[in-house]
Amino acid sequence: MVKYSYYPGNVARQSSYEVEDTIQPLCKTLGIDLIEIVGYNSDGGNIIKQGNKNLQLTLNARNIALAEKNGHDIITACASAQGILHEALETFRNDPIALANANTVLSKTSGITANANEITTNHLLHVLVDEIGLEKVEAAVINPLKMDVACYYGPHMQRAGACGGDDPWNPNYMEKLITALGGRPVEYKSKTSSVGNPSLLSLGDSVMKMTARVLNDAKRAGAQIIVSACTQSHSNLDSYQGKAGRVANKDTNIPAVNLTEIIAFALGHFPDRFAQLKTRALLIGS
Amino acid sequence: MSGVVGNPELAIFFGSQTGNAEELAGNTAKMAKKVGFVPKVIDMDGFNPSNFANFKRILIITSTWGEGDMPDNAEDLWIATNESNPGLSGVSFSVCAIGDTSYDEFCKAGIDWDEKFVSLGATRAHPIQLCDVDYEPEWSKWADAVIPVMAAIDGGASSAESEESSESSEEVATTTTATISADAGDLGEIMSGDRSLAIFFGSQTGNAAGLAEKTAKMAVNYGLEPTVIDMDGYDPAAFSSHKRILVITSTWGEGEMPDNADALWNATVASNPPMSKVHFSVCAIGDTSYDEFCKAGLDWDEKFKALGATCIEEIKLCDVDFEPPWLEWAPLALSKIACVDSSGTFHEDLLEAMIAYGAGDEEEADVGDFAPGQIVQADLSITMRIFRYNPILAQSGYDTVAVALPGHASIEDALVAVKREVDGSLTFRSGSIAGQDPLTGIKANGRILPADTTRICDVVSDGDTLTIEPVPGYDVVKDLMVSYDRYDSVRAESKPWMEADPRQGERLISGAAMGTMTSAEATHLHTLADVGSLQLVNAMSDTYDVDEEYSGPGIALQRWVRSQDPRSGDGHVKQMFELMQRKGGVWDEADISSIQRHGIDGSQAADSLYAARARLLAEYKFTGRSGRLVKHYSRSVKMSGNVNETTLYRSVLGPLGLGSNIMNGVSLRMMLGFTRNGGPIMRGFQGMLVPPAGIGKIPNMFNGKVANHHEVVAIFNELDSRF
Repeated sequence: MVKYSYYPGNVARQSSYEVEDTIQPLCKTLGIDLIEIVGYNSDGGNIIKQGNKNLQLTLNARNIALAEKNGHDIITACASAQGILHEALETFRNDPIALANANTVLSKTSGITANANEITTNHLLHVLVDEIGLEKVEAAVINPLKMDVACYYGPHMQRAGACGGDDPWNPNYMEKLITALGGRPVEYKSKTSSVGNPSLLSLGDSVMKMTARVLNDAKRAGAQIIVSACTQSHSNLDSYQGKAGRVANKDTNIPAVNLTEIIAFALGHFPDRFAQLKTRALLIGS
Repeated sequence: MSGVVGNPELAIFFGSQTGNAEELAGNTAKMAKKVGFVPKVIDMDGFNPSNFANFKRILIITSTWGEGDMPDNAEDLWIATNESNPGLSGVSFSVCAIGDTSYDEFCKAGIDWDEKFVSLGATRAHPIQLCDVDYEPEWSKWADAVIPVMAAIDGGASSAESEESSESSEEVATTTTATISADAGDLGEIMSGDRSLAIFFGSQTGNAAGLAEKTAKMAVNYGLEPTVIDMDGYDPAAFSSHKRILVITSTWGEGEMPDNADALWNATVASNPPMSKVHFSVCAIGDTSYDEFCKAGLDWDEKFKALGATCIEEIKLCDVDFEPPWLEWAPLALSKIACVDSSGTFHEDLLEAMIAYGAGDEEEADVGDFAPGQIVQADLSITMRIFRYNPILAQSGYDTVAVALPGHASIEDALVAVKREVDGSLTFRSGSIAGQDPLTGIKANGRILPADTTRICDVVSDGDTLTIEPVPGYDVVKDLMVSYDRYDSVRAESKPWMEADPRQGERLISGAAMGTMTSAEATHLHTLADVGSLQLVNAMSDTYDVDEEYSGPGIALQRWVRSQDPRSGDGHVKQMFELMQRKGGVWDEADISSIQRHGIDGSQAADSLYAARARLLAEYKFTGRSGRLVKHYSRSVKMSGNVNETTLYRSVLGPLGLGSNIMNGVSLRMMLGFTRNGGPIMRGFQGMLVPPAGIGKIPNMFNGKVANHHEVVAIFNELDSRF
């Protein structure tokens, strides 16, 4: 078993509980031990940063310090969380003053300090490809996907250093993973484009148009479902897809699932949910 | 003619702690070289002060360290000079001192040298220049003034270099940083007098003319004074007035002269002017696919020889890819022709020294710890997918071309090659000077990049596909060319930056003029706006091309910088804030991460957007939906340690927004978990319907607090009491 400090992100234990439902069994199957970061807090979602950059940095410093206390690198299933944690770590590594300032507050309020050089932060996708190995994943597949799958990465973790050994601009780790899970990855143009999730509640039409662009591109490329590596963005792709289609006047009707769900299904977990997904893909997928 | 009187030697001493003074010394040497000096850049470390007197002209560039101390490399020389007090009569000097006005002993090291030299009998040829932290403008002013002054001072005899002088030169050589490895004494012999060089070009399409210009620039490094001459209208009788001639010519059609050379050729053939005192060399451009390859160049070469001129370097024949062979020819031809003295005599014995002298810039780049990057990259075989758009037929698509190019070629080089060899109608913006045109942007494999300064090897590897598309967010005119009108029209909304302000002419209590700024402020301001192209920064946003009203992050960056400029008046700052706050401003960017990942420029723009938003939230007190989002999101995290989406939706969207979600089916999808693959419907149902402080049946997942929640509250209380 490999051990990671598990950071669920902002919504996996709130509105997107299906992520929490599925990441636990899939990690057990693949030999990943998720160690709870006791008392973890929100990473600020790059929204707190808009009001106070240091506040968001310090909130992340607390999570990093708690994970360091666990003694394990961080894993998360949300691309947005991965991007924010990575940026915080990079900031602390390159700016000792920022780290010292955050530690001053942490020490005073929580009795802990962050080192920032002891641990790394990783998205589940990169752990599976770079560390666990796709052969092991493939060997564990019980229910091959057998679907045309569009992979959505979003922009948050697509930068050098934050996405493992994958190419930030033309990533293919998820496509490789989908192939290992018995699915057929579909190439489409906007797989790293933003769907505007940080402004989902504050901006109207533009976020809907950005969401529709991704969904429509995926559909036009022949995908039956779209899989999101970003739990936050999944909310746009799923709950808002009808509205997005109407605002942009585009066909956006396609099942959208989280990456953890599709992996868990292929590994034999929640066969009932998988059956439901396959039915929906047949009915509304392209 | 060289403008330097007598021996062209110029000693430039540097005292440097961090390398700034050393860099300025090198730059001063370059400037001096252009007017005919043979400069020596000398590290003060290890120099024997008794050798100061061996130089007639001395420039000193030094920084000051700590509390008025000499830099480390100058300390020993300073002590030794004070101990030995060498006589310096006959030496002319000037000092450029770098310092920091925030220290009491501003520029003390430079002032000390200045006073010491005067006390030792040296003549101050030009007053000392004191430079603050932003030292370049002051140095530039000093260098511009001092070099002509030094040139007018007689440097003494240059020939034969007295025994004493050569001995001292050897001694000096051991202590220099070897900016110039050539023996200045030897070259000094031919560096004075007429140094003119005539570079003739015969050009049909401009290639030969371009090479002539480049050759002229290179010629300056060899102490030559080049003139580029169009063959058109030239009188062949005047050939003999030159001692040094280079000819660069293309061949047109079936071995014909280019149009601008035709008349001169005919006149030369008809008049056969004598050219016995002329040294020359020819660089011919042609195309091996034609029978008469490079015939025009070969004709000139033969003709000049027949007229008695001396061919100093064999003719170079260049194929279609003419730059590499030209680059082989030019340094050879120039170093040889530079060894022709003012009487027209070729000094072969000085050739080695001249080659080293001409290559001085490259050697300089190797001095010290700096290691130049790898310039030549391996060839790449790639597939280019190029977006094409025909505005007349309103048709678009992609052309696919297999190309083999050196990896160090730029994307623009690749496009030029495709245009030249595959499809002449391919349209794209081309930078006239690489790196100076902000509009050469393209989208290459998803990245927004300037085509003229991006190497292919930095975007793709051997065997990869390079997809090139127009930058998003702007109207496509044709193929890869877009119209930047959208940017220009929005930019015009911001009034001129330096508009007159009522405070003009007034002063602060401290006496400082209003509308000025310190160098630290200037540096900060420049850093904020240090991006290659604001137009391309706009294109980096994933929002810009879906929201026509959005002015873009490039404009936002510019407005933010203006608002931070201490020279901007209150009214102007207010105007900038209003432009940023209103529709189309900084809040219209849906996801700053999409910009941030675009390298340094993207990161710079993203930082400014965050900073601008933070400032606007304070200024406008969290008003508007964006303000409410930040406020309630932060409060929600403070209250529970995590994001409470139930309160967030309600607080930010308000009743109307929630109503819209219900009407649009968003709420229904959430409640039913429509695509949530079997998650309990009740969770969503409860989450949507019940307010957080409501009837007490909210699941923990919506209202639960993280362990040690008080720590999160304490962090908020420490850093931002507004939440």
